[in-house]
Amino acid sequence: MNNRPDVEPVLRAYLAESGDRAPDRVLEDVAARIARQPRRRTWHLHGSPFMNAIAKVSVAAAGIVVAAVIGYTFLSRPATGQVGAGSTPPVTSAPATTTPTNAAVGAPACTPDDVRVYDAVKPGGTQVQTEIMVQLKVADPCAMDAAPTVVLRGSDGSALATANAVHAGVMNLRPAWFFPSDFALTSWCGDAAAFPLSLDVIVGGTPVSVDGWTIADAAGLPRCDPSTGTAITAAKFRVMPN
Amino acid sequence: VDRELVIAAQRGDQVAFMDLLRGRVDRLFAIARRILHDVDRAEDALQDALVIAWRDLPDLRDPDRFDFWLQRVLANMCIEHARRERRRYTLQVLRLEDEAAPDELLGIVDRDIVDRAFRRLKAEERTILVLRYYLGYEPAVIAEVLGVPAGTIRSRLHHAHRAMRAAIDADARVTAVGGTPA
Repeated sequence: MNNRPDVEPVLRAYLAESGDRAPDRVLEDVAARIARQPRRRTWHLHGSPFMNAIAKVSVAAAGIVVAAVIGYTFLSRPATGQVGAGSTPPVTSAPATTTPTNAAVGAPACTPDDVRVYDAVKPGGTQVQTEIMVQLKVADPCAMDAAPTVVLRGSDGSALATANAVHAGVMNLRPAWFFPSDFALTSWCGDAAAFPLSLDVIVGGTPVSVDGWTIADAAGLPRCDPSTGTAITAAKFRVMPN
Repeated sequence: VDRELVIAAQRGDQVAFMDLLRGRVDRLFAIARRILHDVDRAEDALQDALVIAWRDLPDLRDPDRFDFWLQRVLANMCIEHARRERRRYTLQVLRLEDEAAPDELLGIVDRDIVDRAFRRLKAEERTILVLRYYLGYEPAVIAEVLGVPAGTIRSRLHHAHRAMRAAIDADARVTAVGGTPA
């Protein structure tokens, strides 16, 4: 005698409606977040988790070709006269430095007053993985490191952890363009911290607070992964024309 | 009316966007909760998806496809959240409790066993099963929602069925001999 029920009706019963109701705060928080987040057109590819292997390889290959062409174009140019020369702000291969070298890109180094730095994705929710956005506030282009140095701070100003730039080079910021970096705090193994925590991005050697990013208490921190210790990363800036 | 609201939202009308969400948020939350198996994570994923939806809405070409498009944004966000969680934590057990227990089939197959089997599936597979058996979509519609070929969906449905079948059988065997399921 076969006593094994069919999977399909079991799944239907298991997933059946059971009076789900979203908490009111969902829409309230979404309304607050979209009010604070400037709408921008997305030109980078959002990879679908369902993308098949051939599509992934094709996209990767296309990306490599485009990167190679852009890289060849810029590397084959003289080092001067780059500002305004192309449609994409140049990210150069200059040696790693904490302060942009003006001669490398033809633009002055950005100061904290030149830029706005904010949390573009999660101003109100879990903050451990988000997108840090840098935008130029002034009319004239300026240059800053192509990868952010991000410092996690306690409310007493103490530096708790730092994501160091691992990509050498500088980039030109332009008005109305966006420069996002993917930030992640995936493991926290530190001692007790003074809450709320905040993030700083180093601009021209000076810390600039990431507007909208905060962790209110220990519950907002990720668990400690002993294999990695405290893990904090910030990816190289991308360039997004408005 | 919804089409007009979608178009208004695409042009930047936040009130129109919130009006669109009001009638949909419970359903979307239910989808996220079933895929992620965790109320808090479902809430986070739903919020993130709705913010991304607001950001990317101008890219939606056909306002009449808003619901499918929104479900795609949510499904992808749930999978992304599930992947993050898999890297950080073991997924928290969430029983989809329903005291009314509408279907006696779940009396034959213990709910805990189904629950464990479902949690063992990949997030992509759970997503497809939720679209298929919670929303009642045919594979061709799931393919449209998720933007992948229908053949891929059928293949993954088949694999998810087999995985569920195997997990239920294995769990039942362990339980029958007095062991503790993984």
